[in-house]
Amino acid sequence: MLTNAQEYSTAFHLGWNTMVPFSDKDFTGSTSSAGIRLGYSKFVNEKFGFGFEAGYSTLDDYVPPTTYEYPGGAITTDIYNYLYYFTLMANGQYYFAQGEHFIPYTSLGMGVAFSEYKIFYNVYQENDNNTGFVIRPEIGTLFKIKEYSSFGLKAALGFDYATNKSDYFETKNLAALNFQIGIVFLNR
Amino acid sequence: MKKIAGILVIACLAGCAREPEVADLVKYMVVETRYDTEEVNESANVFTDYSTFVLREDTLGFVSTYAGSDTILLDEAGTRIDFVNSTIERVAEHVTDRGFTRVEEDENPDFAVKIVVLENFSFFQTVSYPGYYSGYYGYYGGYYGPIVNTYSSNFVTMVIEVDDIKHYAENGSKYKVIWSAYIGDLLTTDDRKNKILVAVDKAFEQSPYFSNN
Repeated sequence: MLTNAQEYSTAFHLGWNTMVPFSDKDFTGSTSSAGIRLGYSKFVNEKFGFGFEAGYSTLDDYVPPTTYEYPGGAITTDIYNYLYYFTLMANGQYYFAQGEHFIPYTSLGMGVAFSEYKIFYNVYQENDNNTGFVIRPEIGTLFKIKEYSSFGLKAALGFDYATNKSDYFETKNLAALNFQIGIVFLNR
Repeated sequence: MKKIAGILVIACLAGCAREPEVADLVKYMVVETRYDTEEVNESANVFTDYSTFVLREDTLGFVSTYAGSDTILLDEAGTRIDFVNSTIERVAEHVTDRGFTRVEEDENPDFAVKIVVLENFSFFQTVSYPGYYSGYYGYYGGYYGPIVNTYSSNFVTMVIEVDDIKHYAENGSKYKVIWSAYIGDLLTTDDRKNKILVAVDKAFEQSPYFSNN
């Protein structure tokens, strides 16, 4: 995502992402570690950089057998709720300091989010796809194993707010906390 | 290093794009029941007007969207078709428990209970279900499966249906469908025989209005 501009010009990161949903907990309320982040950054100078990042996460939840009544009938089933969430963002970064090992930063990303809300019950399934705008403020740090290493680790905490929602499943705009840990490849 | 990154990306993507396990999905059958809101509502319940019913003894109709596959199901020892008699008996037990008397067809029953297994019809999502049959109510003259609009699939669904015989003339010489239950999927579910019985119990449990009291 970033590094010392005097030493490095670009970086590529790959991270494992955990999502904690803040919205629509009735649909997918459980924390999920089924997520990935991929990103590329270009360093402008020691303080600033920009880049893009793609992310893919799956949230899911299980609802035990329940009887749902509606006018003229009722249905009993257990349900597996799934939310497949893909983001593509441009971002800008600000680096607080360039330490020997740690490079803390904050960033703001904006882009497009694609989501698929899907329910599975027995062999049946229903889904609703939509596209929205997403914004992601984030703070994190890089950790260089050696001072001039081209390999490092990354940890970041961010918050996604996306305009994606499903009228079909009556979900609201998507909001979730993200925690990412991963690896960084630094290029001089 | 790039190769390792590539492998990691593919592995992560595969891990993220997950779905529930089929074995977990088919642990419970889906049971949906519907009733005619013109006949069963806050001010009226046609079931209180019935006292007798007819239900075929030992076979179920099997209707498929695959041409030439329609048949009649009989229990066959050692095969996957082992749920016919147990299902009929359980349905008859429930209907009797709700205060109705089982009679023969020539004893002028008030309603018919039909049980049909449908292959390749989907009910739980896109059903467009007419409330009437225009012909014979399809008992001993053969099985006339419910008429549905559907799309192709590999689902096998059991439909239990109540057709009004008593008010045939009042309903414009048609057998009106008063109640129906859909149970699925029969194709992928293991322990089919017992799970069908559990599903039949649930269908009646969620239909308290199905009673002549």
